[in-house]
Amino acid sequence: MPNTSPSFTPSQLPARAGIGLKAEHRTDILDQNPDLGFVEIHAENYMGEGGAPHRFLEEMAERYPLSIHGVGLSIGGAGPLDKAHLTRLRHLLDRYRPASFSEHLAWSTHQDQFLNDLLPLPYTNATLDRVASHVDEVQQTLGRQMLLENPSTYLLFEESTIEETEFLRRIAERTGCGLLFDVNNVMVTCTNHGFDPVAYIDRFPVQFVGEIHLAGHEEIEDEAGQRVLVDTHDRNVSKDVFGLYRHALSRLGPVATLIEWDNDVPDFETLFAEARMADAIMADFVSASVEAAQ
Amino acid sequence: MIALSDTDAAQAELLSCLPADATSIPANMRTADGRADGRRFAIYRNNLNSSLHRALEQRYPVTRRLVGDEFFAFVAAQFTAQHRPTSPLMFSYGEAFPSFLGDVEAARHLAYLPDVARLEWLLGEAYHAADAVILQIADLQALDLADAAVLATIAKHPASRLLASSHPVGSIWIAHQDETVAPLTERGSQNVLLTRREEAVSLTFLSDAEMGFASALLDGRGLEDAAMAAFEADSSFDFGATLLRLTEAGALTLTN
Repeated sequence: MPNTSPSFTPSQLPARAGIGLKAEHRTDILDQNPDLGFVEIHAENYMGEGGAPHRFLEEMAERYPLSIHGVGLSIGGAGPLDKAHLTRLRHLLDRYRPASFSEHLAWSTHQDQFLNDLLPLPYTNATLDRVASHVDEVQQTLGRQMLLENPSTYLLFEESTIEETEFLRRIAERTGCGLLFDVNNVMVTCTNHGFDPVAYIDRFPVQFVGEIHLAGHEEIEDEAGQRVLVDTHDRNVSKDVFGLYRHALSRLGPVATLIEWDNDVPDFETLFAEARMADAIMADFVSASVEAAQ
Repeated sequence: MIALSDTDAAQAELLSCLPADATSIPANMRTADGRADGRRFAIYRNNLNSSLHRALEQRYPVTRRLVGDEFFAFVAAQFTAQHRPTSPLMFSYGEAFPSFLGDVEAARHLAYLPDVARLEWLLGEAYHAADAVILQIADLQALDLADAAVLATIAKHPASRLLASSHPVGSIWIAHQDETVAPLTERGSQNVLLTRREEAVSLTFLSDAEMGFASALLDGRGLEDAAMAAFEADSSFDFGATLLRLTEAGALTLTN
């Protein structure tokens, strides 16, 4: 049973392209005032007490709708959520009142160690219960709906009994959370396990999606010489991923779409060009649907 | 239902395969065709270890420049293996790196290195510290400094930091902000005050007497108390001039 409390603020990003915000692009953004649908930040980078990061975020939040994306909550962790971290998150969200808050279907904390990566979990009834209860706790504490993101994975767990798209559907149905649909992660995960990414998108519970992520990936080979994609966020979105994005839009309709570029960050023009590309694809899709309706 | 401890143990096993020099992979992780593939698991290992390395590089750029990329990578690998982050706030990672450097045998001849790293750590602390109104010279002139209750409202700004070193660390750091490093003429000890104005952190050098006063003040002792301590340590201590210097540097704030 969905237990969405009416007091939860739903995610409400505009159906436009946005970018991952980088301090090195500050001057470009202030000078050019680019037409961006929204900007997204990693929550943990703005959990210092004061100084330049908060001035920057205040400036940007005045100009654009804001999405806050957490990378350290460890929702898939076996242990309890870190209460101190949840409190920090609540303070950040209370201060900036973002249009959306999202986190990952992954874990990164074990006892007192923080692993600074998004580690995978098996999909079983037991992990489903635990993730659902963590998502409940996050939404209760923050007083708002969160979006949960599908991961990039490189290996499968032998004990998994539930398919990833089904796992995400059940979490969303049980907790009332939304989903962050990372189309690059679909490409990465499906390639790495020999799944059909189009079929994955067709199975994905699109009714819960509040945002899409697009990013670049690297290609390597595993020990058997099989092609493996690595979710690196260090380059352009690939043509294949833009192709899947079109397919995702055909199921979803236009939806807030983020260009993530976190490593080897390019100049602002290059990043903005990626966002304009996503906006153009959305606009094509909208005009094609209008024509089809006439 | 699987007991919580089972998944806890599974995550502990995955974690035990993450150190940079580990070679095993979790027994329950396989490719779609059923193989244990070390190169695939190494993606997780590399993500973690390279992100920690990168965090140190970003926090200690001058230290890295002083020793070169290769040696820095060598020390960072040892440090990150022994000191894992305990918080998701990565800007708080690496506080123990300066003293770790002091124990690295191969860097012993660079006696100033740990203090340069300490300075870089403190620069980051000052950068992220809480906001507060900076006490200005005009504020100081408007205050009745003969009134103990007024003096008690003057305190350190949350971003102010101090470092006393037996090496010219501030000059070393400044020299390494440019692309070409001019030969250093400074020798001997240096007291460095870090302050933040308009979000930018800057360095001010203090005399020993000024340093004594500033450290008492930054330790949370009141202005009057700090002045007494400084005067006892050095009878030539000039309270008015020192208060002006610290105010000019933006080191102080007013509390209620």
